[in-house]
Order: sequence, then structure tokens, then C-alpha cells
Amino acid sequence: MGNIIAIVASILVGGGVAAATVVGVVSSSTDNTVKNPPTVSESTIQYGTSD
Amino acid sequence: MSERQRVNDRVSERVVPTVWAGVLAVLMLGPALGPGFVLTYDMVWVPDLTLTRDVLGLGSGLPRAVPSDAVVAVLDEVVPGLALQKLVLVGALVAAGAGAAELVRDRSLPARLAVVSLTVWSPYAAERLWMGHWPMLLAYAAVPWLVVAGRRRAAGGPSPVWMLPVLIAGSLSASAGLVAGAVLLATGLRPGRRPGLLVAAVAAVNAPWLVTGLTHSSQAAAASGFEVFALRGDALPAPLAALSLAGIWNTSVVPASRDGWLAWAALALLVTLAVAGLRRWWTNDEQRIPILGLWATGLGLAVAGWAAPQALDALAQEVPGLALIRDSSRLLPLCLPLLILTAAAGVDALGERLRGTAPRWAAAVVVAVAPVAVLPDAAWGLAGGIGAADYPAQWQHAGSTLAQESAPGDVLVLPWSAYRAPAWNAHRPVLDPLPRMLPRPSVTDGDLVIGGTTIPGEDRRASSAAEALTAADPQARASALRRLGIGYAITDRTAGEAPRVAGEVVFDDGGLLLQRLPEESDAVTGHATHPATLVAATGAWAAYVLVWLVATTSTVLLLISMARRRTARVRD
Repeated sequence: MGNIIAIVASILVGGGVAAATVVGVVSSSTDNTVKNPPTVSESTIQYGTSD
Repeated sequence: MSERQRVNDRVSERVVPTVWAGVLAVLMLGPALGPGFVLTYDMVWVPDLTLTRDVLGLGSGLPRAVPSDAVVAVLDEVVPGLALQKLVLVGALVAAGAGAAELVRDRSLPARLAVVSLTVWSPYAAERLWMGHWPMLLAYAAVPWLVVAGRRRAAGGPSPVWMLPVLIAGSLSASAGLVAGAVLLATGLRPGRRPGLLVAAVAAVNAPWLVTGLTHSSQAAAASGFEVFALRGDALPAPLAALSLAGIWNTSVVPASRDGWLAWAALALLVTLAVAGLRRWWTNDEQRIPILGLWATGLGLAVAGWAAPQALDALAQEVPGLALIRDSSRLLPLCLPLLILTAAAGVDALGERLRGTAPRWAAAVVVAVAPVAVLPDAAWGLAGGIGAADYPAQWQHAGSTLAQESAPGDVLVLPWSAYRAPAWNAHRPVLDPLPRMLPRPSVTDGDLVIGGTTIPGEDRRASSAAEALTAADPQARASALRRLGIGYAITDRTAGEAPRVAGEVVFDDGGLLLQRLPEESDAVTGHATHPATLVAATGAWAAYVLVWLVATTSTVLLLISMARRRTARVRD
């Protein structure tokens, strides 16, 4: 009985983390949140931001 | 042991972790592996970089890309720049993971896979990749390998043949050289083990940036900006971010997930594994003091930049080389060996508490994918942060046209700003690639604009050029520039407003305008290098070339010997 519980728990935990990873990776890649400067009319492009 | 058993062990020891590192590398780079160059912030690769005075560190500006640009300029004569860049990016990530696994070779496979993930899929790798600090990525990849090499030396064995090539690859910039050199010396320098040779090798691979940097020491002393470039917290306070190998100063290159609870989860994962393995590692590692020392140095320097930026700024005015550590989190790879060693020991310690095959397999899966789960937006080109782009065809034409020109003088690049966000690069910010496409030394704006703050550049010639551009009319600007040794001006009209200068049009396609500035009676022909500087730099480059020759020869001999052994095995 203990063995079965361990196997089920393992599948749930291992599978859960693996599935969450895949979902996270796919959604991050498809929902592109990176915003690059929309215009280059200003000739001074920032090297970075520190806010 | 049977041949089959040996093959299985080899697959388990090296092949599986390396393949896993390859999978993670491809997943992280994603679209950046497509056709075109990856151009992001400081990462500027061009099809064929010319070996100019600037590339060798003999220009008027601080030698920031020495020796990396010179190495690329030579290697892209053999391998096209495009292929070389992909090789470097994939190679750095795969080598980092494979090196981590090699460092803990005596640990279980789940432990080795876990450290591969922690190393490749780390905030440091993601943020520095986005920032375009490819020499730092190579240094990061070299760190575990150099620890392995250092340990073998310290233990009395011969130095691995690959030690020198790895040291060279890991020392392609000043900060990278500091990291790689410190790691190798800390772990491999032992009395009676020819310490002089090791120190000489480290000195030689760092000689080009060290010597050319010293010749610009007065400019280096003017470098400031510790506050702007200091370690910065994300969702975590800065010191805790540094513990997780995060905390880059530029918030534009921090994956969004680092601003939420996932950053805390990543820290919890790392600390849990490290604490679980700390005791086991401490009792079994003869090099615990050097490893701990490296970690403390990396973390201490990163935190110092955050804790006392103004004091460091003031100190840097007196100590020229100090400006090297103003981007203080850049040296965090020094913390990597301790994290790898303790995390791997932690995975094994926790794994031994589990009973049965299924829980152990589940735990192995969890520790291998958890680093990805807590930083999901490092995937697929950092969720769009990096990609591949092709240069406009006319850029090469302008370069070819300039190559055929015979008038003396360097090239002024306009508009007068260091960074661009070209439409053909999906508006991703990048250090202007145009100077690297040109066959002559160039003068560009060195000022950096960060969040509304301008960090003045250190190149005095660029300051003089900026002043020349404030002259009343195009003719006066051209005359003033000519007196600075500038013979040509190239203007990228697609990059915004630029001051007009008078000159004969040599190339104009609507986007790029190349002009030859009018002759002046008192014009100088270019930037003059002091003879003493030239002698010192020649010595430094000669030492560097010598190390390259030794490394190349030993690598070729190793490959020949491996091929012979394989042939002999097949015959048997």
C-alpha cells in the first residue's frame, strides 16, 4: 500500500513540476512581454534602465 | 569491467549531461539560432571584422573589447562570423553545463543533471546573454573546467591538455580574464607544482587588455558610474539576488519572472540544495578553502558595488583598474564552483532519504527541471529579448567603398550616439555595429545614457569630435574634424537626426551616407600611438600569440593521439 502511495505521489509531483515547466516555458515564449523601443526617431538610444 | 559496462558508464557520466546542456542551450537561444546575427546591447558581430588599430587596443578609446575583437577578427578569416557567433553562444552554454557535470563527476546522475540545469539556466547566463556579454558567458563556462584542471594540478597530476585553450577562451575581456585567472590560480597554484608556469600562462592570456589598458590608464581613472552599474535587486533585495547569480544593473535585460515570486522560489531551491549538501561537501573536499574564498570574493565584490558605490567611485579616481569592477555583478561566476559542488552534494543527500525507485525518479525530474520552471521566460530567445537579424546589404557596400578610398584619416560615425535600435533588428538596442563593418578605425560617441543619467565616455578624441560637431556650419565642423585626424564621416540616416558635415559624397543609398571630408592644410592623418605604447602592446600581443600557439599545438597533438588510440582499438 505504501509503495502504491509513493508511486502515485511521485507521478503527481514529478509530472506536475514537469508539466508546470512546459506550460511556463510555452506561455512565456508565446506571450512576448519584451518591449523594445518603438521608435528610433530619437538618435540617443538608452544603454539600459536602472529603475 | 566489461566493454558494455564501460560504454554505459561513459554515457551516464558525460554524454547524458552534455546532451541535457545542449537541449537547454537550444531552448534558451531559440530564434537566435536562426539565420542572421544576434545583436543585443554589447554583442556586436559582423560578417568580417577587420583587424584595425581599435581592435588591437591601440585606438584612442578604452580597449573594452580586447582581446575578444582581435580573436574574432582572426578567426572569422577561417570560420564565417555568423557561424562563429552561433558556435560561441551554443558552445558557451553547453560547455558551462558539461563543465558543471564534470566538476561533480563522482556524484549521481540526477545530481549532475541538476547542476547542469542550475548552471545553464541561471539568471546570470540569461541576463548576460541578453546584455550581449559573450566573453563573460565564455568565462562563466570556463569556470567549472578550470576548477577541474586546477584540482588535477594541485593533486599532483599533469595539467589537462585542454586547460590552456579553456583559459584562453575564458579570458577574452578584462573582467572575464580576472574571473578565469582567479579560479585557476586559486585552485591550481601549489608550491612545487611549477606555480611560475601557471602564473605566466594567466599573465600572458591577460596581457593584451592589461597592457593596452595601462596605456589608457589616465582615461580609465576618469571612468565612473559605480552607482549606475551596481548590483541591483529584482524581486529579491540585491544581496539575495546576487546569491542566486542575478542582479544585473540593467533592468531592461532582467526576465520578467525575476520580478515576481518565482525569484524567491529560485532562491529557495538553490539555498535548499546548497544547505543540504554543505556538510557533505565540506567534509569531502580538500579544496574547500579556495572554493569558499572564490565564492566570498565574487559575492563580496558584487555586494560592495551595491553597498558603497560612491566610495568606490571616489576610489576609482585614484586607482585606475578599479573601474573594471564597476559592473560588480559581472564577477559573480566566482561563486559558481561552490554552488555547483554544494548543490550536487545536496541532491545526493536528499535523494538518499527517499525509498524506492519511483520517488527517486520523481526527485530527479524535479531537480533537473525546477531551475527552468522558476525562470521560464529565459526560454526561446529570452521570450523575444534576443533574435537573429541580417545587416542591410548596403552596409557591406559602404564598407567596400571605403576600403577602396585612399585619402588619409579615420571615420566619424553619425548620428552622435553609441547605441542604435534599428528596425531591421526588431528595434532591439545594440551598440552601433557600423564601426565594426568599416575597414578603418572609427571615432564614435562613448557616452552611455542609462535611465536619464549620462555616463560620460572616456575617449578624449571622441570628446573633441563632439565639440567639433557643435561648430556653427557644416564646413566649420568638417574643418574641425579634419584637424582631429578624421578623414571621413558616415551617417546612418535611419538612426535619427545627425549634424551635417561638409564633404564629397562617396557613397549614398538613401540610408547610409559616406563623405570624404575636405582637405585641410593643418590636418593630421589619424590618431598617433606613442612609440613606447606600441612597443609595450607588441610585447603583450606577442606573449598572447605564443600562448595561442602552445594551446593550438597541444590541442592538435591531443586530437591526433585520440584518433590513433581509436584506430588501434578498432584494429584490436
